[in-house]
Amino acid sequence: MWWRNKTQGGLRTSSVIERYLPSTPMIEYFSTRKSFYHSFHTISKLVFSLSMVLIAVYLKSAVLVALISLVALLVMASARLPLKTVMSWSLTPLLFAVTLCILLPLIGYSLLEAALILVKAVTAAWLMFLLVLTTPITNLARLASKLLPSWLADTLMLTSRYFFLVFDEAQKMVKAMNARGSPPLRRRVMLVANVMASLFVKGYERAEKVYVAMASRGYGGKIPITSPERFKIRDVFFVAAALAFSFILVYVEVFVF
Amino acid sequence: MKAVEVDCVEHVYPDGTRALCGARLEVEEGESVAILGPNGSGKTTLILHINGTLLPHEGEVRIFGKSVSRRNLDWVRRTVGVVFQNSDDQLFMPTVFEDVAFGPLNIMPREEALREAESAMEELGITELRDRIPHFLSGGQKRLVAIAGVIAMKPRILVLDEPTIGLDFESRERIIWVLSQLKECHGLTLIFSTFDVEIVPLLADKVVVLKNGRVAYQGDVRGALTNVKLLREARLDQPPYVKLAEELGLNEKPLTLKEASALFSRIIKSNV
Repeated sequence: MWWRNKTQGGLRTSSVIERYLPSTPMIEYFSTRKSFYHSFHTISKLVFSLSMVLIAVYLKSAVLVALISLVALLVMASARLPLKTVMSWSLTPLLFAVTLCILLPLIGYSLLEAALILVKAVTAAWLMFLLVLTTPITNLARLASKLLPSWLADTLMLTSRYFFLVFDEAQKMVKAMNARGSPPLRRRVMLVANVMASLFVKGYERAEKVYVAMASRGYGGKIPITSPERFKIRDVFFVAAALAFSFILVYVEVFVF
Repeated sequence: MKAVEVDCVEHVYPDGTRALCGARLEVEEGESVAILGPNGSGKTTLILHINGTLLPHEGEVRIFGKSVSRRNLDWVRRTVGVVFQNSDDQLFMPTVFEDVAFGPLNIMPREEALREAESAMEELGITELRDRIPHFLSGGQKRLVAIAGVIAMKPRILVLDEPTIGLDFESRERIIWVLSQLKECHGLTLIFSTFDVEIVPLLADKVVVLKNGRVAYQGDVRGALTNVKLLREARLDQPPYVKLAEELGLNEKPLTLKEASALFSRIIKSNV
């Protein structure tokens, strides 16, 4: 599998980034695979992930939050997602959470509370990974277009589609820079501004080209979807089970702990 | 019937670059035209005018007799399919099938659109790529998917910007075969810009040479590819068989391998 090679050996230009962040092609690769969990409706998966995140945020019991993490991991395993890779991707949100948690004791939180927030952050990240890695981006965009204007939903979809290409471009430029001699740190910092400006111009050009390509193929303000999803009976059961599980967790938190 | 008429078109980019200065071009329905010219000669600008992506500042572009304007852009884009030079700009959907179906879904009822997408993929022999992610395809595969995405919209005119650029031998051969099939079996009007002079005699009925935004030559393929001065001006090389014939001092100039082998067989037989 290419992603395995990338995450272990780092073969392509974006390999360093892909070790710690899922790139768009990786998201597309996993989200278009087949598994029982993949086959659920986008709304069902969204309800599951969001309800679990909200409950995890609400809960004060570390045991119950850990239980949600365990459930998230089990569902990820059942959806045939690479747990080891997801763990390394979790390091990025973990980094942000750790930075925040280091500061928390300074403003009166106990170490235990800070640790719980850390666990909650990682759990939320896993649940979001679970959603995006099992749902094609077009389905998420289609769902978003029900809440947002379609141009905004399409923009979000295309942004997510091309966002990581900016990182790719940045890496290529840094490599090209290094290939012509590694500049000293001070000059390197100054060069970052040049790289950013260059990236902006390239990004703008690419956006224009993609728009021209879309317009020439009849784009009329809404990206069409090839196979619309159907909300099936099993989705009803799944959503009911997710909500029931959430309710049970709250019940246990309130009445048992 | 004239499929494309470019009449005295001028185009100036916002930075002041005059890309086309009074370009004139006529393409008959079912004809195949190669646009040759050095970098910056206005090839891509001309192509973008043919499907209404760019509108001329002066002059007129007519597709099947209808003048291209903002009012009929939908019709123009349905009639003229464009395959861009960089396939990565054209492949923006998550999977190959979704990308091929993107255009048809914009202009046809769902069932018909999906059928057309399937049939375009079959025609180009890329059905095995159906669920693949465009990002990870080879350059040749990407080019085929880009062509399929346009063919699926059933255009009457197919315009390609440098269709064989950056491809390996096998992919290049496949693209040539696909384009010749589209021309011969479907009677598509084909317009392509290229530096690859070897594919010109294989695909084109007519050659247009652009120089500084003007049409420097418009005529038959042989006339263009055996005209050393014209090709020099267009910063293009002669096809290898023409060069070989010139080196050998032959009057006849073969353009293709087939023509060259026929010529040399005749010479060998006459000498035996």
